[in-house]
Amino acid sequence: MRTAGWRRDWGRRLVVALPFLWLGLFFLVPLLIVGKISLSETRSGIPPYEPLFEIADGALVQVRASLANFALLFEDDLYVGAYFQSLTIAGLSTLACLLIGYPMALGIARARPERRSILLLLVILPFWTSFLIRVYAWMGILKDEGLLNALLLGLGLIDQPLIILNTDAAVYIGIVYSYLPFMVLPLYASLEKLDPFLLEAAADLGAPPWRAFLAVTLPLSAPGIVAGSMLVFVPAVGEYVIPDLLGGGDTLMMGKALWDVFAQNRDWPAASALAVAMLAALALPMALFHHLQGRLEGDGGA
Amino acid sequence: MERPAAIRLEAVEKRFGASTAVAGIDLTIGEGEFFSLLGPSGCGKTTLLRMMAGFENPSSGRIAIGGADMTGVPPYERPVNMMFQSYALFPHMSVADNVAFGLKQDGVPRPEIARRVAEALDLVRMGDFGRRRPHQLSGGQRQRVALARCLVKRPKVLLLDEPLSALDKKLREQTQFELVNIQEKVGITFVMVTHDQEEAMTMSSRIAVMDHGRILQVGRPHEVYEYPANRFVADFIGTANFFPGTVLGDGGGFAADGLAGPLTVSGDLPPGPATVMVRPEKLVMGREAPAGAVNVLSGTVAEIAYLGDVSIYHVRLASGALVLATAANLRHSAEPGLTWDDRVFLSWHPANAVVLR
Repeated sequence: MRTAGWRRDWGRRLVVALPFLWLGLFFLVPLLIVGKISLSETRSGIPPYEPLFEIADGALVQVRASLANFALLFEDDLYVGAYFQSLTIAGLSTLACLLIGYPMALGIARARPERRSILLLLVILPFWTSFLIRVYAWMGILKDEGLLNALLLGLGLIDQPLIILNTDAAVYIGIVYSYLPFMVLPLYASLEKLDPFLLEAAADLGAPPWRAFLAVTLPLSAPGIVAGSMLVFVPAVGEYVIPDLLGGGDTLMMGKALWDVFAQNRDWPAASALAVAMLAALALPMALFHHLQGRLEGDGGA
Repeated sequence: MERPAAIRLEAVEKRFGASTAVAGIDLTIGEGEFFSLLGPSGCGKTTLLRMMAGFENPSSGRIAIGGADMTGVPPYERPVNMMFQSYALFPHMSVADNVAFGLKQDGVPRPEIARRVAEALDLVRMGDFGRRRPHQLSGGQRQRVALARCLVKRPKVLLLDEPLSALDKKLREQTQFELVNIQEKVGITFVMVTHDQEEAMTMSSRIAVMDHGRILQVGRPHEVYEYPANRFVADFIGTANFFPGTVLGDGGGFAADGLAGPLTVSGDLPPGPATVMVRPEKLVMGREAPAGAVNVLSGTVAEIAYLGDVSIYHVRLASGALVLATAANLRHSAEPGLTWDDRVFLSWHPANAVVLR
C-alpha cells in the first residue's frame, strides 16, 4: 500500500510538473531573456546589445544593468501616448464587443437546444481561416473603392466614398470583428447555466422582463462578462497586425510601437523594456480580474 | 360552493403540438381553500398550475382569478405567486433580499418592505437567517424562504409546485402540518400540485385527481378515498381490491368473475357490467368463517408484509386472484397468529364496498 501510494503521488506530481516545465522552458526563460536585454545598453553589432555580465578569466568582473531604457519610455511622449491609445482602443473595443456579444450569447443560450450547436459553430467558424487573411479581407471591404463603399454608393446612401481604411475606425472594426467570439463564448457559458426558473420566479414576483434581466440575468452572468472582457481587452492592448494593416499613420498602439523600435530602430533593449512595461501594465488588470472572478464565484456557488 | 371563487377555470385546454396536456377542464376553487391537484407524472397537473401562474397560455378556454379574466395577463401582473419545486431562490441575493424582491417590484416604501420581510421570515421561523445566502441554507430552510417570498406579497392565490418533494421523509411530514397551519393563519387560497396521495390527503381541503389531462374526480380527501368515482381514482389513492363482474339487478346482488356465489352490494343498482372495490382495511380476516356474514371469501395466505403498525396479508383465492387485507398489529407479541399457507376467511360489510362502473 505504501509503495502504491508513493507511486501514485509521484505520478500525480509528474502530471502536474510537465506542463509547468513546459511553461518554464518556453515561456519563462524567453521572458527572462527579454528582461535581461531590457536592462542592457544598445550597441551596433550582433547581438545588438551589450552583455549584462562581463566575465573575464572565469570570474564575474562587472554587472552592467541600467534602467535607462525604462526611463526612456517615460521621457518619450510617443510611448506614453501609444500606451494610452492602446488602452483606449482596447477598452472601447471591449465595450463594443460586450454590447454586440451579449445579445448574441443570450440569443444562443435561449435558442432551442438542437439549434445551439449550429449557432455556436457559426461563432467560431471564422477561426477556420487564417486571421491574417481575414484582416486582409477587411482591407478589401473597407478601402475607398472597396465592397462597403460600392454597396453604399450603389444604394445611393452616399455620394462619395467614405474614408475608413487607415483610420482608427478601421482598427475598431477589425478588433471588434476579430475578438467578438472571445466575448460571446464565455458569455454563452455563463448564460447557458442560468436556471430558467429564476426568471420565471422574478416574473412571478412582479418583475417585467427588462427588470428581471437587470436583477437576475445580468448579475448572474457577471463572471462571463468579466472573463469575456479580459479575453478581448488583454490581447487587444498588444494587438499589432490589425493597427498595422487597417490603421493609419496616427494610430500608434503599443504592439506597433514595439515592432517599430525592434525591427526598424534595431534597438533591442528599448523594445525589451517596452515589452516588460507592457506586461506590467497588463498584469494589473489581470490581477483585478482574478480578484473579481474569485469573489463572484465565491458568491454565486451553490 | 358557499365561498366566492378564487380561481375559476372554464373549458381550459392546452395542446403542445399534437399532444394534449390539459384536455378541457372546468374547475372552481373557493377562497381560503387548500386545494390539491393530484395525479401521476405527465397527467397535466403542472401545466394546469403554470397556466394559472401565467407561464403558459391556454390553447382555449378561460381562467379567472378573483373574478378577473386572466387571458393575456402576463405573470408579473397576476395576483398569484408560485412556489417552485426547485424553490428558484436568487443565488446572488441574501435571504432578506430574496423575500423583499417582490415588494420592491411593486414599489412598496422601504420601511414597509423591511417590516413585512421581517414578518414573513418570522412566520416561517427564519427570522435569524435574513443575511444568509441561499447556498448557506439546508433544503428545509430554503423551502421556507421560498414560502416567505411568496407569502410576503399577500397574493390572492398561492400556487405550490410539489413543495415538499425535495425534503426527506421525516421533514416532509413535519412540514405538511406547518404548511397547513400557515395557510390557516394567513387565509390565502393554496393550490398545490403533488403526485403524493398521502400529502394530498393530509393537507388538502379538496383534491382533484387528474389523469391524461382530465380531472377524474374532485372531492374532500375522505370522499375520494371512500367513494372513488372510478377505478383509476380508487387505484391511485390508497390500495384497493377489485372484483370485476356483473350487477344482476332485482336485488340479486353481484356476480363476480371467478367467484362461486354472488356478492351482496348495497343500494339498488341497475344491472350491467361493473366492478366492486373494497379497501384492504375494510376486510375482516379470520381462521373461522364468520357466522351470519355476507361476502365471505376463503383463501390461503401467500405473502405477509410487516410494516410495524400494520401488516398486509396477500391472500390467494381459489380462483387464483390475490386479495390484500390489512390488519393492525395491536399487540406486542412477536407471533402474528397467522402465517404463510394458513387458510383464512375474508369478509366485508356491503356498505364498505363501492360499485364502480
